[in-house]
Amino acid sequence: MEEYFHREWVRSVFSSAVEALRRQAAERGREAAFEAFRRYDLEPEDDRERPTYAEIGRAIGQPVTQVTNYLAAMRREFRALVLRCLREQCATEREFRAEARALLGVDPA
Amino acid sequence: MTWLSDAALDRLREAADHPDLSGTRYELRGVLGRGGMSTVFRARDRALDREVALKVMAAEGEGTVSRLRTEARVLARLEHPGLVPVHDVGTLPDGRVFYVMRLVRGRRLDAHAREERSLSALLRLFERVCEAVAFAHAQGVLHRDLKPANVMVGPFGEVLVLDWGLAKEVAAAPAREAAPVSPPGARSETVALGSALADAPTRTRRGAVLGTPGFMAPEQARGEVDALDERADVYALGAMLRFLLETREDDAPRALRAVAAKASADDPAERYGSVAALADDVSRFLSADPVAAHREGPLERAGRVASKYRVPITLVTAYLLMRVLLAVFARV
Repeated sequence: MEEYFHREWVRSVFSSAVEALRRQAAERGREAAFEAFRRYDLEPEDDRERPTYAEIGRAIGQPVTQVTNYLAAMRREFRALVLRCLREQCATEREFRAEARALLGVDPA
Repeated sequence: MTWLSDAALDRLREAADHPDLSGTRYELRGVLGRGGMSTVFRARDRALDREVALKVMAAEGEGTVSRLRTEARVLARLEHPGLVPVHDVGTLPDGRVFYVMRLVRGRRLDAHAREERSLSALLRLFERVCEAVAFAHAQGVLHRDLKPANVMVGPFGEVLVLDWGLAKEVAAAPAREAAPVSPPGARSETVALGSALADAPTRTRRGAVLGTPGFMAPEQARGEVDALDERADVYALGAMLRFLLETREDDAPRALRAVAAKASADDPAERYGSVAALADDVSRFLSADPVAAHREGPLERAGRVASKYRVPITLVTAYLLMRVLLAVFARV
């Protein structure tokens, strides 16, 4: 049961971060980058359904190298947003660090 | 709000943890291991077309960034066959510091010890661990987290002391006993001593307790960071030796148990004054010489001497027996 609640909590934090990432990308005119991220990291239900970088590139009209850059940038920003969401949800610095470690395996000391 | 599938959750978790290596010459291949403060990844160095291990600090804070940088710097300075060479150090686009080292193949000493049947072979490995640590001490570096899990035994018997994440730079202290300054097991050679690092910053918060219970010296467990010297590592090596002896099915020799007990004495003053002195006693045991940690009784001494001179004693006994037999046959 505890595991279930933890996973749902992770889902809620990550969902908030993804939403913030989508808004941030739209504000900065980086919809194509978010679209690559959505197609590669968010949408597939199964790893076997994951499109190749080339397929994503064709879909958004960008070369494979740009898809790689987009994905790297989106993941980086996603990570930062997760930490920001966590900070907002945690009452104390200690709690924040413990949750960050549990969630991402990081210690944002 | 975007609903995320379980598969997406797992991918995002992995994506958030995995380092972004864009702009570097490395290509991520997978995770090798995760520790409390860092993760080690398998990566490919595209420039040199070889596999490497890439260690990334999990944390992003100022203290932890400098910790990984210091670890890389310390390791880069410690050039020894028993230490993993560092190839590169850098910062990821997300601010996390990483360093690149040789990809070590082999298995951990704790796993190796459970399968190694020969006590002598295990003790020789232990001597090599001591050599590497003694070298680091000569360079003014304490490991502070020595344990079997941090020692890797390679396929050709090579020994590597890993995880210098808690290493502390101190002044290279003079040995307290009449211990050799050269590496144990190579007494005629000279160690190239590096500069003392008394001015180097202490890498842990004052009083912070870092280490592994069971292998951590009492003074380290009490957080007496400033009081730590090489005897803290001697304690850990003593605990490691005890661990190795406990993996044996038969009882370990008393002399060896005494060596482990002396090395891991609660009071630093009762321990060996240096890792070299500890290794020296282990070498003495291997050569069937008396060890400094144990006063043997007459029977024990006789047994040891008999063991040491087994071949000549056997030859002389056989010779005498033959003479007796010849004399007997000559009379008949």
